[in-house]
Amino acid sequence: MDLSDESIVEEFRQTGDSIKFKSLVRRYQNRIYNAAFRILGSQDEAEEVTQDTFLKVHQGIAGFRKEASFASWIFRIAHNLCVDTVRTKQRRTGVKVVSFDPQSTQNEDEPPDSSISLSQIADPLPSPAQKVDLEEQQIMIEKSLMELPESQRAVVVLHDIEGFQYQEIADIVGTSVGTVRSRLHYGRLKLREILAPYFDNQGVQTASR
Amino acid sequence: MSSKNSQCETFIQLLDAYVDNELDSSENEQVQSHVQSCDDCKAQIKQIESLKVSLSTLPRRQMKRDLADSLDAVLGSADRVGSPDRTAKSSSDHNVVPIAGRRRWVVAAASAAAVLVVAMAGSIVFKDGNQQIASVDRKSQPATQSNVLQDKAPSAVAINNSGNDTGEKKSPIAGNNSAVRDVRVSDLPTKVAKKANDSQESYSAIANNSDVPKTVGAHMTGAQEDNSKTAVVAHNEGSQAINGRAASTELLALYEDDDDSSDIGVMTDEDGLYAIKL
Repeated sequence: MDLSDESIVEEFRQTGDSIKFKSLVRRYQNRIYNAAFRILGSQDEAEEVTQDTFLKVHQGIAGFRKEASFASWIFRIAHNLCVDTVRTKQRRTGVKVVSFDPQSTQNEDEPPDSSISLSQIADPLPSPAQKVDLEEQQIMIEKSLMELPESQRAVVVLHDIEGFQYQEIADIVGTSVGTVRSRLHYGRLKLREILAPYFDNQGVQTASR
Repeated sequence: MSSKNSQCETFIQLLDAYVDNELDSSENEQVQSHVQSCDDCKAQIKQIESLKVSLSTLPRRQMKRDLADSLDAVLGSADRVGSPDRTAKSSSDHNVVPIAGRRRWVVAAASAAAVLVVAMAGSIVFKDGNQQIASVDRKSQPATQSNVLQDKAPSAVAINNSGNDTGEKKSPIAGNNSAVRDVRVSDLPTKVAKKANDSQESYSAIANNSDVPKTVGAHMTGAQEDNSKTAVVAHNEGSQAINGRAASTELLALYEDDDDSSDIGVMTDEDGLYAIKL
C-alpha cells in the first residue's frame, strides 16, 4: 500500500532522505506541469513553474503543516508561481494577457455585461458548420480556456481538470469558497458562450462522444 | 413567465455548484425542486455536465523529463544561489548548472553588466582643449588583440577637443557577452588618479589581461555638462577582451563589495579587473 503524501513528507523531514523527496516529485510533477500548462498556455513556462515549485517545496518543507493536505499546499505554491508568471508577462508586454475580455475591466467575479462572441477571439475557432474531429475539438476547448481571465481559468483548471473540491481550491488560491463558486460559475458560463455554436442539445459535441 | 425567468436567474448561479455537489442540503433541495419543473435549467445542467466532461478529458500534458532525475543538480544550484531554509540534506553536484540556477546567474551577470554600462557611459567624458586625458591608440594594438577590437569600431573612447562640450561615448563594455573592449591610453602617466571636487561619485570598470603589466587607470571627475573634466579608462598593451560572463560576474562582486567611498583611483583584482572610481 502506498504511503500517504503526508507520511512521506514526515519521513523526509526526519531522515533527509532524498529518495523520499524524489517520490513526491514523481507523484506530483506531471499534475503540477499539466495544471500550470493549462493556466499559462506555455510549455516552457509550465516547466519552469514546475521546477521552481519543487525548489520551493524543498526549501520550505519545514513550514508544511498538516492543516491542509500536501496536495493543496504544493498546488498553492505552484499557483502562486503561475500568478507571478502571468503578472511578469503582463508587465513585460504592457498589456493584459487576457485583453479582449469584456470582463477584464470589471470584477472577475461579477457577471459580464455583454456576451462573448466568436468575433472577439483573435484566433477564431472553426466554423460551427465545419466538421471537427476530436483533436480539433480539444484544441477548441483549450483555446476557449485561454480566453478566460486568469483567476477564473485557474479555478476551472483546479476543479474540472485536477479534481479539487471548492474548499481545497479556496485554500490553494487564497480566497473564500463563495469566490471559488462564483469564479467557477462565470468561467464555465463564458466557456459555454464561446463554445455555444458547437453545442448541440446534448451539450458540447467534443468529448461527449 | 417573468416569474419563472426571475426564478431561473436566482438558480442559475447555483447550477454549477449543484452539478458539482457543492451546495448545502437546503440549497440543494431548492435547486432540485426548481430544476424538475424548468426545462431551461435542465438544459443548462446538461451543458455544464458536458463541459465538465470535455475539460476533464483534455489530454494531460506531461513533463518531457523526470525532474526527480535532475533533482540533485537542481538543489545543488539552489545552494549556490543562496537558498535559505535548507532543512533536509541533499546531495549536490556542483559541477552541474541546471536551468533555474543558470537563469538566475545570467540575470545577475546581466544586471551587473547593465549597471556598469550605464556607469561607464555616464563617466566617459573628455576634457576640452589641450588637456587630453585619454585617447584610443588603435595603431599600436598588438597582433594578439582580440577581434572584438575592430579598427572601424567606434568602440570605446573618443576625444572631444572642441570647446567645453561634453563628449560622451560608448561604454567599453558592450555587446551581448559584455566583452570589455580594449582602450589604450597613450598620453597618461603610468598611474594617475585624481579626485575632483565634484561630489558625484560613480564607478566605472574595465578589465584587462592579467598577464600584462597593469597600468593606468586614470581619471578625473566633475561630471557636469559644461565644465566636465574627463574620464576614464585605462589600459595596457595586449589586453584582451575577456569572457563576458566572467567579467560581469566579477564586476558585480567588485562593485558591490567596494563601499569605501573615500578612496579614489584604480583598484584591481588578481584577474586584472580594474574599477575606477570617478
